[in-house]
Amino acid sequence: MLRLGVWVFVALTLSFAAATRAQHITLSIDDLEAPGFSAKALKGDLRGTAERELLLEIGAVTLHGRTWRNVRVRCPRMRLESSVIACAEAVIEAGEKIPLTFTYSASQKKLEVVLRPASREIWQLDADFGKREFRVAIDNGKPERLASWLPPEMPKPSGGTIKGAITFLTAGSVNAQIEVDGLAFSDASGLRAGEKIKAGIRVAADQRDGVWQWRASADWVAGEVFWQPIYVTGSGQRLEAEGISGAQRTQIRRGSLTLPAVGSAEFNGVWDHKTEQIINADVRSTPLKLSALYAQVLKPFLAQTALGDVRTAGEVTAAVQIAQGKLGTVDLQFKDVSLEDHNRRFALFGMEGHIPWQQDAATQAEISVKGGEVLRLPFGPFRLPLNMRGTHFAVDKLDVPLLDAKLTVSDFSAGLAADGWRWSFGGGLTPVSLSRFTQSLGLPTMHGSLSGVIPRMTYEKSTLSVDGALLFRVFDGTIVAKDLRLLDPFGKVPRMQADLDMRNLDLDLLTRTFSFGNITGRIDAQVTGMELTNWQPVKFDARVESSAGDYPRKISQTAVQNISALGGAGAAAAIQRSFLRFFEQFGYQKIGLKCKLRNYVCEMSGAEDAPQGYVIVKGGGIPAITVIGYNRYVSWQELIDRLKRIMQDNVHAIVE
Amino acid sequence: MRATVWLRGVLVALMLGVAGAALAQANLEINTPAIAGLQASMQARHTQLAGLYASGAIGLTRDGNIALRDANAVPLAQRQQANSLVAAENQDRTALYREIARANGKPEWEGEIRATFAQRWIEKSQPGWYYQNPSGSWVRK
Repeated sequence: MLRLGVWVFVALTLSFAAATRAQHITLSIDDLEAPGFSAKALKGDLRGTAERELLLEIGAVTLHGRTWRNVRVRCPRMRLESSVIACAEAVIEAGEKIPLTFTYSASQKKLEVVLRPASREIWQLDADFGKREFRVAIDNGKPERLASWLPPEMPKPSGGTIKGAITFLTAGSVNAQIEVDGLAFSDASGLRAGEKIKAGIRVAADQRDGVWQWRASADWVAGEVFWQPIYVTGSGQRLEAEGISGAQRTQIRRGSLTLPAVGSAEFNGVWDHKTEQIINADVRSTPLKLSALYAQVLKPFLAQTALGDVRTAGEVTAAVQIAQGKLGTVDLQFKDVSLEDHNRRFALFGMEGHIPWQQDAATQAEISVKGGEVLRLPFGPFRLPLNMRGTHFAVDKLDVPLLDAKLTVSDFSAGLAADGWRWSFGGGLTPVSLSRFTQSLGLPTMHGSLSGVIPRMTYEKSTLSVDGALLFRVFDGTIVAKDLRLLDPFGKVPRMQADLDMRNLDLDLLTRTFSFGNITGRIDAQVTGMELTNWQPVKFDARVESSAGDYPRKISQTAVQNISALGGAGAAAAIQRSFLRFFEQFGYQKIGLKCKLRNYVCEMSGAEDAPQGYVIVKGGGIPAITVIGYNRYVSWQELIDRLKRIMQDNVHAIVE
Repeated sequence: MRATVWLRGVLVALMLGVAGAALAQANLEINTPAIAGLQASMQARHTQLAGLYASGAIGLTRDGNIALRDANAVPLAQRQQANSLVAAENQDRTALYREIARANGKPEWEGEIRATFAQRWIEKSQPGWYYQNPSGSWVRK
């Protein structure tokens, strides 16, 4: 195109020079073609002698894919001398009217074209055809004028100003220094957009043997950008890079990115133009401030995960290598890192360590954590020796102090399969004080201790399942959970299935805990076919009955009233009307209560049937009392509400 | 406030069984703890979504979800949040359709329940809101 430009001007010069004595000359060209440029139906018309008027009409002119139709250039007073063609007050009409001045010096082979599309807006081209040097200078340029030259998939500028200059030599050299102020851009959907952007860019490039050597830098001073899913405001971010670009590949020899509140990173690498992939890359960061990195970059990518809404602190230093188009190594160093879930589901404090992950080699990470909490349950310091190989991670043994006990995780193994992550582990819990345990969880204070054995817990295909039985020791008895499965545990509606078998629970400890009135004795309980949805029971068959064996069996009047109250308010009042109210406690032979839960209704039965009801407490000894339930069907919610009322009332009584 | 009333209206209407013939046997009235939890979550979010419906930033899709159809209607600094709201709402909606089907003991009805809801969300939407017609084009009600 540039060569053609020279030819056209030389040709025009000759024509116009020859015509200086003429009064009227016309010029007509059907077609002009050059790479990136074409013009059709050109007509030139020059008239007058002392003051010459030029009218140039072009049917269609196409420049780098953009076409203007019926373009007219009118110059009312044209200087037409043997070595100079100039016009100080021309107007170009191409959709809009733009004032234009141009001067062409044939002797110096220089062209100057100045467009002033708006007040204070200047686009100036200086071409030196001798040196083959071209310079475009812009002052107060409207960036939206460039919109139609941008690839269709790119966001389009819509406001702001451009100032700067681009110089290029046809021998192969480009120098650009551009500043934008108040720049606004957006794509049609608004998902890639920026506003009020103040930024500068500098590029210097030289071409030798078909390869460009370049150096570039960009500074972002102010403004805001939303590039789905990231939103960032300009605060002095700086990008610098230098490298070479050929037809096939671009190599960044040295680059650096500085994010003022976060830190900086240096990088180099190779980009393949054809496959649009990174072939090799090496990125090394300085210590990065995790709180700013999380807020500015990581948070939107973690939105639907457990780390979607956490408070972060500390520093992370990262190094990443990509080789042969694949992630080769990731090296992370943590310094005093804390993660705290805003919903208080978990927290980790004082995490230090080094994770030297490699795709093709076995490595070990050493991580230490000063403490934290899970579901408000505090845990103490621990070390995590993590064995890694590709996407397989393993921990032989991990001991975590939990209140006054120790949680042991053994044979932890995790790996990425085609259908997602799979992991499994075994372990156990040494006896932990139930009173501290329950207080931490905000539950009614229980007495005794809790300990457990975790045979093998496996997570795969969004399901957590326990192989074997989960054993807990509470209330001086045992609770065994069998066939425990958690479906979609991290989803919106987690579901749980299990069978529970409780043996020899000490009723004295149990009833004291739940302010139910006192019962002395022991009970067994079985819950089979239990299904919870969103942690609420939807189905089970439950039975509670006195354990076999000899032990003292006493029930207090308050407990009798509370058990009766479960059957409805009227039952409790019956005791108060009888002589039984004079006794503080009674003997009993057995206790039994069954609930078959279906469709949120509990079908009740007791230790044995009674006329029009069922026996919940069968009396024995002196004084004895028998409690009979009459309601066969109770709404589950109603039952829970009654239990809550009983416990609340009793708690109030103790406070008084 | 008016928008919240709208949401409740649609949910109640659906729960009362204004279902298509294909779902004549489905008990859409069923209200499990999981369904109640999802409805509460959606209602709480609706106060934030109402303005986005009104401005045309988001619209009701033909498949019973919502979508960010014109982010330009949202200030730049709030587009990230609008995105998150849409994603969270769609998670709840998917879970709601699945739970209603499951509570009926017919998990295979999830698709039909979704289609019924999609139709009703659009029918009950307020004038000025955008929805997708059967061919997928956005239409202003």
